[in-house]
Amino acid sequence: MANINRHNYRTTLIDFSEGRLSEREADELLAFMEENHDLLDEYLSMSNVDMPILSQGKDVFTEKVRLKKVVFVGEEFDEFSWLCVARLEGDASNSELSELKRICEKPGELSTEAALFERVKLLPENISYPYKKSLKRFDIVGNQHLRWYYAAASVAAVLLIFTIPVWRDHQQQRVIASASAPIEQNLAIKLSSKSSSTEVHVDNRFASNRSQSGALKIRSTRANGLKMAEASQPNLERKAVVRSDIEVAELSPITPKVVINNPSLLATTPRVIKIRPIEVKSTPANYQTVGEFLAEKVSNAAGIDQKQVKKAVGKARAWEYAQASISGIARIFGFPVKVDKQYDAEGNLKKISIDTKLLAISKTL
Amino acid sequence: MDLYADNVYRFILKNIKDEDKAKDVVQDSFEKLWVKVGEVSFEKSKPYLFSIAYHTMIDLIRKEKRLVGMEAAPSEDMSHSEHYSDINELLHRAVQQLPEIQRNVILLRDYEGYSYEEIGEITGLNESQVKVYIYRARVFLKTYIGSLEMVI
Repeated sequence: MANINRHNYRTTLIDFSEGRLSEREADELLAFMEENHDLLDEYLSMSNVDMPILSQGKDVFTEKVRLKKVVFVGEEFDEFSWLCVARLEGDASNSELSELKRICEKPGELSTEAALFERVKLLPENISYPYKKSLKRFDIVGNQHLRWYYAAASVAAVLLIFTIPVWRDHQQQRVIASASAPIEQNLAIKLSSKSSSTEVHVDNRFASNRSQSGALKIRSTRANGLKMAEASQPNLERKAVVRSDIEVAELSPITPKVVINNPSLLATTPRVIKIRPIEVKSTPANYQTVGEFLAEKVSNAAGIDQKQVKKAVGKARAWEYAQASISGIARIFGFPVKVDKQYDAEGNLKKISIDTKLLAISKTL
Repeated sequence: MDLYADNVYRFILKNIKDEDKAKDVVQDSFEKLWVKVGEVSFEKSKPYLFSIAYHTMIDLIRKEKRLVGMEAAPSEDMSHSEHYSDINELLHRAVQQLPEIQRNVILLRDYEGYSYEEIGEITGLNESQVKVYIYRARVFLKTYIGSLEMVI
C-alpha cells in the first residue's frame, strides 16, 4: 500500500472500517494516518456517529391512492380526486366513504386537499329578476280594470254579431229600380214589394214620338188634363201630381234610378209611375232628378218614415262605436288593429274594415 | 313563476355576465314557455324553462362570437392578482374561468340542485358526460382555490 496518499486514502479507510484489509495493509494505513493527523482526526470524528438503522415498513409512500386510476367513460381519473368529488356530489358508496375517511385521517397533503374539495360547492347568490310582472301571461281574473275592458270587448262583439245580420237584412230589402237604357220615350215604372227583381217596365201605351230635350231634371207637371204647377216659379213643389194610382212626370233622356230602402213597406197594390220626356224651359234647379222624383214617389206611396233612414245612419254609428271599442281594446292589449273607413261625398260612412289578430271584418254600409 | 324567474335569471347572468342580455334571455324564455304551455306539464315546466333559457343563451353566445370574430378569447390562466376575502367570491371568480359547458353543469348542479339526468335534459348531454364535466369542474375549482390559498 505504498501508494496511499491524500487522494485515495478514503477507499482504503472504508475497507479498513469494514475489516477487509490485511494486517500489513492496515499497518500501512495507520502509518499514513500517523503522518497526516488532520485526516486521522476526521476519521475519528466520523467514527463517533452512530448510523441509524433503517427500519423496513415505516417509510411508505402515503399517496398511493393518487397513483390509482379510475376509468370512467373512457377517461382516466385520479382515484383520490374521484372519491372526493363523489363524496361532495353524494354519489360515494359507504365503502368509498370509509376509504376516503381513512385516507384523510392521516395528516398530510391528501387531507388538506380533501378539505379543499369540500369547499368547492357554490352557494347561490341572492340575485333576483327585476321584471317579473312582464313575464306573466295576461290574466283577466285578478284585474278589475281588465275585466271592464273585456266586458267592453264582449259588448262590442255582441254588437257586431247582432248588427251584421240586421244590416244585411236591411240591405237585402233594398230594391233598385232603374231603366236599362236611357229613356227616350214615355215610360211607366211599376213598383211592387212582391217582386225581388228590378221593377222597371216600359209601357208602350205611353210611348211618344216627341224628341227629347237635354235637361237632366224632371219637373212636376200636369198632363192629360191634370193640374200642373207653374215650372217657372221658384221653390216649386217638386212632386208629381197624383191622379188616382197614376203619376205622370216629364223627364229628360237619362237613366232613371231609384233606391227603395224598405220595399216591405210599399203598398201591396202595385203603383205605376208614368214618365215621359219634356222640354225643360226653366232653370234646372227647379227640377228634380229622375231618381229623386222616383224615390220621393215611392216613399210617399209606401209611407216610408224618414226615421227609417236615420236608423241606417244609426247602424253606421254603431259600427263606428264597435270600431272604437276594438281599437281601444287592441291598444290596451298591444295587438295591432287596422281600421279602414270609406265615406261618400256627403260624409256618410259607406264602408268599414276592421282587421285585428283576432278578428277581421269588412262591411259595406 | 317568481321563483323560476330568479333562478333562470341567476343562471343566465352567471354565465354571460351581462344583466341586460340576461334579462332579454329570461324574457324570451318565458315567451317561448307560454307558447308551449299547453304541452308542458307543471312538473316539467322548470326543467323545460331552463332548457329553453340554456339554448337561448347558447344561441346568443354563438351569435356574439360570430360578431366578435377573431377577437381574442378570455384567458383561462390561474393568475391571481386580485385579493379575495370571501371563499364564495373566489369560487364565483373561478367559475368564470371554467369552460362554458363545465360552468353550465356546475351552476345547474349547485344553484338549482338538478340531478345528472335533469342537467342532461337541459344541456343535451348524457348522464355520464354530465358527471365527467362536473368532476373536471370540481377539480379545477379545488386547484384554483388551493393555489390562491398558497399565495395568501
